[in-house]
Amino acid sequence: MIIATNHLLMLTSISRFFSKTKQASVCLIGEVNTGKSTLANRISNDFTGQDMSAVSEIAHETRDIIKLEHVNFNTDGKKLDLTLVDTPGIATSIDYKEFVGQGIPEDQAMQRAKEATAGIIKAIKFLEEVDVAVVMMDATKTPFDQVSLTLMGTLEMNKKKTIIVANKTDLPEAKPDLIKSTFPQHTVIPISALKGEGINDLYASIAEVA
Amino acid sequence: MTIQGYAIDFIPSGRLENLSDEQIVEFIFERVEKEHVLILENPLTPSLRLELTAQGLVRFSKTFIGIKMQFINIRTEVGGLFRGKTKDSTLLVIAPGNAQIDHSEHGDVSVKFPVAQSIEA
Repeated sequence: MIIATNHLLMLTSISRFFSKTKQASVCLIGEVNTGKSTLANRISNDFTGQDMSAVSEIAHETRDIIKLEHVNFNTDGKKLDLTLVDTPGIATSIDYKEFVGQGIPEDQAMQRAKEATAGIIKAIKFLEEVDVAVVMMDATKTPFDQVSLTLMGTLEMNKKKTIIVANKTDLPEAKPDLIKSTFPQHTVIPISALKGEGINDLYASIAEVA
Repeated sequence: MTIQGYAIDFIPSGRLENLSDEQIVEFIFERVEKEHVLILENPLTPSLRLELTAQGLVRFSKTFIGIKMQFINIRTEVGGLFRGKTKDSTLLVIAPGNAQIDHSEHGDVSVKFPVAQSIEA
């Protein structure tokens, strides 16, 4: 039985070795409400035809890490066996009273806040495991917030492959060039995850770095 | 006389120099949980700031909702032989999570607290 299992493992390894499909995990990470789940759904729909994450105007809708494995990513002739990871929005504090203000009963608001804190802690720890980090930034806001600067600094220190996405370019107040000038040493891809603009540039960038 | 309410602590870099990362995290939370706003001369490493974020959320409760952090960039003129040259440095403000930290385009940073909680304090 053990010999059979070993043979199976060996065959799997050999088939992976000869397969041209490289495996990579791509993790969408960033501040709250930067459009991570909207982008996750866009990528998931483009390659699998189905949604991946729930999307909401209320912050902290994604409160746990969501993984979609074996996404057959195929762009510009490059094939990847992708694990797409959507993560809870990173925040340094969570005020449950804000949820109450948005019509959620207090006990549910507290529960939502507790789940969100646990999710953020998991997302922070998960950073160590990712192959490619796609850092989402809201192009309508200045990129000098502590979350973005801390995430970028940590990814640089850990020498992680990183792509910055300047999202929400469909909005008139978007300033993706400000993000480009703040992080000149990184690839910055302006997109609208909602409308799909710039999405092919992001796919080309993932194919290049993964 | 007992003085209650928010406090501001300026922490020179030498104060944290010989502490381990765990000790720095404890040092900071010991004060921030007592509603102190810290101004650190040493802005800490990104990974330590990320650890502070995680540890702040680990301590989450009805009365403690995490922390807020903000850089203050400072440009000072160098004297002596290098007179006329400038030196950039960064301070790190760490406040309780219920504080609102505003960073103006001119570089000044203001820390505000909700009125109701100030009165209670």
